[in-house]
Amino acid sequence: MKQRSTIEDLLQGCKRGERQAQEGLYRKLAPAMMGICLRYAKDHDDAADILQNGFVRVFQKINDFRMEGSFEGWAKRIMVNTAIETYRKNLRSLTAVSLDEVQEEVAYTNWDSLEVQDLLQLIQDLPNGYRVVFNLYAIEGYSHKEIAEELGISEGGSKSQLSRARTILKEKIKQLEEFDHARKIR
Amino acid sequence: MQEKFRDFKAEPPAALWNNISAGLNKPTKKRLPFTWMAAAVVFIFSAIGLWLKNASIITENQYMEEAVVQKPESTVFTEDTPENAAISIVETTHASPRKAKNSTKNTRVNKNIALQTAADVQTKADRVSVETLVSSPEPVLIADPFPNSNDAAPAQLNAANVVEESETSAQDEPLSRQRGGSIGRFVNKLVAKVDSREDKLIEVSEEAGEGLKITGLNFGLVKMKNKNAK
Repeated sequence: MKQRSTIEDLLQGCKRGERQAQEGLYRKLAPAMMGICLRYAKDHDDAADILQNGFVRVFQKINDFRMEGSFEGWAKRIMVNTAIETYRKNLRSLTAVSLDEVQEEVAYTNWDSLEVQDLLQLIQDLPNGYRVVFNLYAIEGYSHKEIAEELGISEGGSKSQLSRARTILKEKIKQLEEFDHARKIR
Repeated sequence: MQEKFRDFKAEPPAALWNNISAGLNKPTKKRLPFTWMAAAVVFIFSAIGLWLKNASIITENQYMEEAVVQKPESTVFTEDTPENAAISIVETTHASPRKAKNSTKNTRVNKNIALQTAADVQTKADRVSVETLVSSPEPVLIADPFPNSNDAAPAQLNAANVVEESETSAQDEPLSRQRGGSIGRFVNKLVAKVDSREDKLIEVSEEAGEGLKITGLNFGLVKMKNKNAK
């Protein structure tokens, strides 16, 4: 309870544009938001950029937040949107067909054996466009339809990009599983 | 998958907050007030200009009538008044577009008014463009909108004086009777779109027959309101 009221206090200060309140809110939320940015980004530097741009937008739009519901959720939404914008050009080539297959792939894969850091590396190694889709589907839990709408993906198109992503995913998972298994044996 | 990343946190770079702070500092310019103030200034001058056109200055009155009778084509008259502002007013109707010239002489300024034929006068001007050169800042211009004396000091905007002078002759003008009301409403409507306060930046009389009479001004620091208005 105390935690929530602190954030509310900080929010009031942020709505008034107080720099100290803004910093306080940043310090509180940055680690969680950085975690989100890291899984959307291709590397640590991109993640930092997304975090920075995302927070600037959070503070600029702070008066749009109507003190209803979770502020973290609202801020997270802004981070995700910032990430999508960062990789917008990579999303153009994606199609609805591609999404179906990515989702299929994700559903069949066993992620349990992987550590978070390993998983993160795997995800960061994906092509930019697919990484965004992967996050939205597998971690955020959006449906195919929602993702297609969100990203403005058009129906039909080639499967070549998808095949590449599938191959990468499969290969990487296989490698990691073998490595992990080998590690455990010792 | 969701579970694995649910509480996933990471340390951002140490200097990141400074970058965010810098990013927030930049766009603090408030563009809105400036934009509507600029628009409002344009409206003031167009309002004054339209009013002057309708109401006419004493010496100009006769010229206008003569010109209307003699020359159906466009006629341009030059008016010499000591002002700081140069106003060039162009009115266009469906039938015949007219052009007005704009020239300056030393510190004095010529005000050119384009006239129309009697037939054209009946139709409303559907487009007014105003070029305004303002040499002094706004507070100085507006400081004395309802002067009683014909003060020729360059600091004062004597278009205001002209407004005062011409009020008496405006009543005789049959042209202004028709146009005053509708232009007044038009000006007030446009100003209302720009200015959301109760006392608008500029308020004009909507009564026909009064020409374009300023009934209220509100510049924050300086406020004027004609109590007889509306």
